[in-house]
Amino acid sequence: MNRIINKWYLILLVGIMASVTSCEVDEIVDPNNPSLAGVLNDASKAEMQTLVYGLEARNRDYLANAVQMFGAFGREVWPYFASDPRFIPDWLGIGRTETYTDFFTSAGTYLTPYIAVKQANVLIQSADNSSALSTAEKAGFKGFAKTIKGFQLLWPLMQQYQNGIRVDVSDPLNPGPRLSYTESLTAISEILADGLKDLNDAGSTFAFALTDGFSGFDTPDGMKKVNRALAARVALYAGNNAEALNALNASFMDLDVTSATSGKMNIGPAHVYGEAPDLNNPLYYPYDRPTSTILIVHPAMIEDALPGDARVTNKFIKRVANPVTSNALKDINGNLLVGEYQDNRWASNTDPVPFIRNEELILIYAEAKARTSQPGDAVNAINKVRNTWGLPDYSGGQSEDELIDEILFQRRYSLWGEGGHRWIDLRRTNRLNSTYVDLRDLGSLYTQVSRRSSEISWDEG
Amino acid sequence: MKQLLTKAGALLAFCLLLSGTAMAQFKTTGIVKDAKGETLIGASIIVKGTAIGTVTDFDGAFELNVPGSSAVLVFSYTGFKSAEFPVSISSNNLDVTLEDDIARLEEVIVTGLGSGVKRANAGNAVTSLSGEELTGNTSPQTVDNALFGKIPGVNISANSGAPGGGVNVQMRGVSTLGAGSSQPLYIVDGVYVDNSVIRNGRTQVSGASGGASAATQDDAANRISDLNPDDIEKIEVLKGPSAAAIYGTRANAGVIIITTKKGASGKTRVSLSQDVGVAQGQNFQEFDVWDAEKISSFFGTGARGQAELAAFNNSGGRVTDWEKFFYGENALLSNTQLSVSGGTEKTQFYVSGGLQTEEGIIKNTGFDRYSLRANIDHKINDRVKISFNNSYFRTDNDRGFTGNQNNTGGSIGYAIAYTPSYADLLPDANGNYPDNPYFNDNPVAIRDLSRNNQVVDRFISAASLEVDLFTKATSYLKFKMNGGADYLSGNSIVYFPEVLQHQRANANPGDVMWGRQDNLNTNLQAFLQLNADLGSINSNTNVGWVRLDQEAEFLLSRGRGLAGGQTNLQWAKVQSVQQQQNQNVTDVGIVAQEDLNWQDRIIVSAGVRFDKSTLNVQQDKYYAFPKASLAANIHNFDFWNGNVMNQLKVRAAYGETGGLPLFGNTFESLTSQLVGGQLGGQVSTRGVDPDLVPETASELEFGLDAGFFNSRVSLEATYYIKKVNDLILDLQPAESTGITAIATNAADLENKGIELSLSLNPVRTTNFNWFSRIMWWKNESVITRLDIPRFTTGGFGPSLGTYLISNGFSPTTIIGNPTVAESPETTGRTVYGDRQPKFQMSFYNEIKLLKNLDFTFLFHYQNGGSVINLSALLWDDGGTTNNWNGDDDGDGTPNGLDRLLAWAVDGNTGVYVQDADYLKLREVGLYYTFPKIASKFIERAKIGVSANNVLLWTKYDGYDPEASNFGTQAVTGNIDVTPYPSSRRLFFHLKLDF
Repeated sequence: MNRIINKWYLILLVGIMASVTSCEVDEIVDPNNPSLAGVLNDASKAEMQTLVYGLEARNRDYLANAVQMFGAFGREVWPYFASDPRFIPDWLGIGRTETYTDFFTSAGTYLTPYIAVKQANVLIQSADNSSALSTAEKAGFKGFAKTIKGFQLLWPLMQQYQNGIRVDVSDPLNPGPRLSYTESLTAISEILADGLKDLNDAGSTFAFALTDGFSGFDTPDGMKKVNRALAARVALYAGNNAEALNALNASFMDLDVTSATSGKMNIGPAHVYGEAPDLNNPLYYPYDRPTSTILIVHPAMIEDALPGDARVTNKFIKRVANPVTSNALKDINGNLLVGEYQDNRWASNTDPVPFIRNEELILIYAEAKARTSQPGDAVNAINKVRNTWGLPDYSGGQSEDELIDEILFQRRYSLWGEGGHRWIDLRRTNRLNSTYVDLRDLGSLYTQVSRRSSEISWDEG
Repeated sequence: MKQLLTKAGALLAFCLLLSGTAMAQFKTTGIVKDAKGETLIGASIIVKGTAIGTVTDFDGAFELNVPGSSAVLVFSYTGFKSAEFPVSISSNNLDVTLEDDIARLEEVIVTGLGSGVKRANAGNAVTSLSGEELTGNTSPQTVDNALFGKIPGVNISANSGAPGGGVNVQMRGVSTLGAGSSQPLYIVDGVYVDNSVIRNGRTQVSGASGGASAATQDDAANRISDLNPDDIEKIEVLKGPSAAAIYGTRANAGVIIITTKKGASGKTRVSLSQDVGVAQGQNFQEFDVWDAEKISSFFGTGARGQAELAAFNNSGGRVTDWEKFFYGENALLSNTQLSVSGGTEKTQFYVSGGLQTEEGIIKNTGFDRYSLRANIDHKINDRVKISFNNSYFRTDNDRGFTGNQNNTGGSIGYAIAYTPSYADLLPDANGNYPDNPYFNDNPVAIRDLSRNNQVVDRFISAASLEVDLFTKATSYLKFKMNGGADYLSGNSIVYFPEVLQHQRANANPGDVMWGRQDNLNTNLQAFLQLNADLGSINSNTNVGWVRLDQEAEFLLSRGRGLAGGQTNLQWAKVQSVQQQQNQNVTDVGIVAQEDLNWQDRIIVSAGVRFDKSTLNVQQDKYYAFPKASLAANIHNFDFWNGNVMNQLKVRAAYGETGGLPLFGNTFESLTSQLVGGQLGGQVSTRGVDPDLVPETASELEFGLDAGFFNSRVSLEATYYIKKVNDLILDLQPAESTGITAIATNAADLENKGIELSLSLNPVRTTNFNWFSRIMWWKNESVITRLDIPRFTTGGFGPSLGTYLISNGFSPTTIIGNPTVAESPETTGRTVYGDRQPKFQMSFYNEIKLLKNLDFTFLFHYQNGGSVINLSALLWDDGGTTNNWNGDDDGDGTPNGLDRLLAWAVDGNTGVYVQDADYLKLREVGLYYTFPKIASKFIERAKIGVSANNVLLWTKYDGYDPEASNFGTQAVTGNIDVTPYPSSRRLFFHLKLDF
C-alpha cells in the first residue's frame, strides 16, 4: 500500500510540475499608452490627428521660459520667484557676468522647443509612412509640421546665439552638425520655405483639425500666411530685409490699423490654454494677491513710457496692497528694490497667447523699410503703431540709426513679455549695453547662454 | 494564475484524502533545559532521518510518538547547540540539557529556495536577527527602522524623521544606478511582498517638483512599514548575489527573508505587552535672534528695513522660537500587542493582534498601525504538513508638510527658514490665520488646516505544503509547495484648503489630491528535494519552479478651486486625473541546486536559476544566474587540536543575480496632453535600446569564521567583490534631438567591502553575563566602465550639488560649482564628497544581572559620507541660521551672508556640502523580569524602560545627517531640504505572560 501511494504521489507531482512549468507568459504591452512604433509605421487618420494636437501642445511649452528668462536678460521683467534662490542672481547676472553650462532653468528655451521639433519630425515621418493619406493630405500634415518646426528652432537659436545650434536632429543617435548662427537662420528659413512648398501642394483643406488658436489659419492658405509671417521674422534677424518684405507680403500683415481697430494688432495664431488636464496660461497671475512668487514688470518700463501710451495701462497694473521684495534684489545703496507692477494682459488663466501678431509684422515692415532706405514707409508704419496706442506721430530724425532706435522703442512696448524681444532686438542691433538697459539691480547683461553639457558631451564622444 | 491556484487546490485536496499508514510506534516523553536549568519553551525535537517531530511546551516538556522500536532524537533550539539522544521502547524518557550556542553556529540559515543549512556549514556570511534582537531592546516604529546598526555591510538611512517610515536600505554598496530596484527584495513567509513607495502627489500640491531630478518629493513611506515588527520570529539577510543568487532576477540589491512567529504545542500561552512612550524632536538648530541690529543687517536700512524695524517694535517683545513651536510637541507613543499561541502535536497556532499609535513631533502628524495575524501549522499525517500564515494590517499615516516646496509655502521647515521670530502668525480669536509677509504661506495655517494622510489596508497570506514522498534510512524525497498573496489597498489625500494664503493667490483656490492604489502580488513555487547519504557524503538536491505575478493600479486625481471646506472632487471647479498607471508583471523561474556535505568538514554547494520576466525587453528570454560555494570546517578534521580555537572555517562563495528594469522603461509610447479642449498625443522624450538586457550582478565572497574558548570569542570576517554589469543608464543623446534619454546597458561598477563582526562573552556566570558585539564594515564603489558620456544626475543641479557618474569615480560622488577648467573627468566641476560613508561601526552590549535584570545598548557610528545640506542654505538665505549675524572672521560681513555670498558669488557649492559623520545611541534598554510570581494567573511579568535614537553626536549643521529629500534613491540621496526632524523615542514597557 505504502509503495502504491508513493507512486501516485510521484506521478501526480511530476504532472503538476510539468504543467505549471510549461505555463506560457503573455507578452505585456504598455497598458497605459499607445506605442510610438504604431504611429511611425502606419498611422491612421485619427492617430495623425492626435499627433497634430500633440504638436500644438508641444508648440506652446517654450513660452514661460522665453518670457521670464529672456525677459529678465533684457530687463523687461524681474523674476521675483522666491521658490528658488537662483532665479534672481543667476538670471540677472548679479555676481556673475557669464552663464554656465546647463544654466539654471534654461531648458525651457532649449530642450523644450527641441521636443516640439521631435514631435514635428515624427509627424512628418508618420505622414510619409501612412497608407491612409493621399499625397495632398500628406503634404498638408508636413507643411504644418515644418512651419511649427521652423518656429521652434528659433528658440534654441535665440538662446544660444553665436554658439549656433543643430538643425538636423531627426536621428537621436546621429544628429547633424552644429551650424553657426547665420547658417542656422538660413537653415530655418529653408525649413519654412520647404513647409510653404508642402502647403502649396496640400489642396484647399487640411485632412486634420487645429485648435481655436489657429482659427482663421486652419487651411493650407491660412497656414501659408503664418509660415510667411515667421519667415519674415527669420529674415529680419538674418538681415535679409528684401526677403523680409517679400515674406510679409504673403503673410497676414494688415497695415490698416487705427486706435478704433486696435484689435487688429492682435491678429495672429495663438497658443491655447485651459483648465487641467490642459495647461494654464503660464503668464497669468491673479491680481495683487499676497505672494512671493510673481513675474514683475521692470520699473523702467513704467518710467520710460511716453505719456498717454495705452500699452502701459493695457499691459501693466500696479500691485497696490502687495508690492513684492526679495532680499536678493537690492539697489546700489543696499535697499531692497520693490516690485510694483504685474502683467495685466490676461483676464484669466485660460486666455490664449498669440505667438506672432500683426503688430510685430508691422514693426518688422517698418524696420525692413528703414534698413532699405525707405524712411517714409518706415515712419508711416511706426505711426500706425503709435497712433493705435494714443501716441502722436513720430517726430524724430529720419536717419536709419534714429529710426531703428524709435522702432526698438516701439517694439519694447508693443512686444513686451512676448518671448524676450527686447533682449534679442538689442543684441542683433549691437545695443545690448547699459545705455539701453536699466541695470539698477546691479546685474550684468548676458549675450547668450552657455552650451548644454549634453551637446558638449555628445560632440566629445 | 487562477489556473495555478486551482491546481494547487486539487493537490491539497488529494493530500488531505491520504491518511497516515499504521505502523509500530512508541511514545517518548521528556523535558528540555538550558545549562542553567531553565526550561526551554518551543525547542524542537525531530526523529532523525524523518520529518516526525514536535516542540516543547510551556514547561519545556514534550511528548512524541516515534515509529519503530528505537530511534535517535535531534533536539534543537535557537541560540543553542543541537544535540542527539537515542531512545527506545525501553528507554523512552529523556532529561535533556542543551548547551548555549553563543556564535549561533547551529542556527539554520537560508541557502536555497527549498532548503537551508546550519550556519556552521554555510559558505556565505548570512546575518540573521531574532525577533528579540529586532524588537527586544526597544520599540521600533517599522521593521526597517529596527535594523540600524545590526547588520554589517548594510547602510541604512532614514529619508526623513516623519512618522511611519521611509527608509533607504542599501546592501553591499550600489546595486543599480536607478534603472532597477535599489532596495532589497522582501520575502515574508515565502510571499514576495510589496515594498514600493506609493505616490501621494504632495510633490505637485506643494509645488516641489522641478530641479534636475525627475524623482518625486512626496516624502512617502516605503510599504514594508505596514508589517508589524512584533510578529517577527526571525529576519535573514542575504546581502549579496553570492548568497541571493537563488532568488535570481530580482536579487541584485539583496534579499531580506522574514519569518513570522509560530505556535508551539502544549499549554496555551497568552502574552500581553504594553509600551508607552514619548517622542521628542532633537538637535534643534537654535535659530538666530532678531533685534534691531540684525534687522538692519538683514533687511537693509531702506524702506523694507524700516518697515521690519517697525514690525519688530510693534511686536511688543513677542518672540517665537519657531523650531520649538512646530517641532516641540511631546508626542505620545503607545504600542499594545496581544498574542495567543499553543496547540497540539498535530496543530499549532499563533494568533496576535497589535495596536500601535504614535503621534509625531509636529501637531497633526502621526502613525497608527493595526495588525492581526493567525499562523496555523497542521500535520495531516506523518507525511503531509501544511501551514497557513495570514495577516492583516492597516496603517494610517499623517506625515504633514515639510521638505521642499515651490511657490506654495507648503512646507513648515522651508517657511520658518524665512520667518523671523517676531512674525505674527497665530490665528485670531475667530480662527483667522494672518498672512505671512515673509513667505508664500503661514506655516501655522499649513500645519493646522492642511492634510497629508495615507491609509493602507493590506493582507498578506501564505500557504505551504510539504509532503514526504518517501523516507528511508539514508535518503528521503520531499515535495514542497508554497505561495501566497500580498494585497495592498492604499488611499491618500493631500489637501490645501482654499483659505490658505498661497491658495488665495491662485486662480482656483483650494487644492486636493486623492490617491488610490491597488497592488496584488501573487507567487507560487514548487520544489522537489532529494536528500541522500552517499557513503560519508550527504547530498541534498533541490529542483523547482517559481512564478511571480504583480498587478498594480494607481490613480491620482486632483481637484482645484474647492468649495469652502470641501475635499470631495465633485466640489472642485477643476477636476483632473493627475496620473493613472496600471502595471502587469510576470516572472517565471526554474531552479536547481545541489549541496554536498562531507562529514561537516567540506561543504560544497552549486546551483543555477533561469528567469524570465515581462519587465525585460526580451520578455521570453531566460537569463541564467549560477552560484557556487565552498565551506571548509578545519576544526572538524581529525588533526585539529581545538583547545583554544574551537572553530575555524574558511569559506568562499560566488553567485550572480539580476536587476530588472522598472516598469514602463522598456516601452516607447505617446503621452496624452489636452490642448484647447482637444486631446494630443505627444512623443515621449525617452527611447529604448532594442537590445537592452537586464542588469546583472556577480559577487565573489571570501570569509573566515573563527571561535575561541568554546566560542566565547568569535570572529566573522568577510571580504567581497560585487560587480554590477550592464547597468541600465540613460544614454543622453544631444538634447537637440528632443530625446533626453535612451535606456541602454552602458556601465559596470564594482563594490568592494569588508565586514567584520567580533562577538565576546567576557563574563559568563549565573549572576552576571556580559555579551558584547562589535561590527565594522566598509564599502567602496567605483564605476569601471561607462560607454556613454560622463554626466551629472540628481538633486537640483550643479550649483546646489549633484552627483557625478564618471569612469573611475564612485557613483555616489557629490560635485558642484565652481567649474574646474582642467578636470573633464568630473564634467569640469569640483568634487565635494561621497554619499557613502568611509566605514560604519556598531557596538552592542547585553548585560544580564542576577538573572532578572537585562541591560542592553547599541551604539552606531558612521565615519565619512557627505550630505548636500540645502536646509543650511535656506536658513542662511532667510537669516535664521544660529549666529547668522555674528562676524567670526571679522570682515564686517555677517557669517550667514559670508556663506551665502561664497556660495552665490564665488560659486562655491561646497559651502553647503557637509560631513555626515555621526555617533548615535540607537537603542538602550533596561528590563526587569519578576521572579516567579506567586499568582496562578500571571506566569511571567517583565517591566522595562528603553529609548530609541536617544543620543546623537554630529557636527552636521542640520537636524540629522540622515536625510533624503527625494526619498529612497539608488544613488542620489543625502539631499537635505528642511525635512521633518528626527526624534528620540523614550519608552516604558510592561510585558505579561499568562
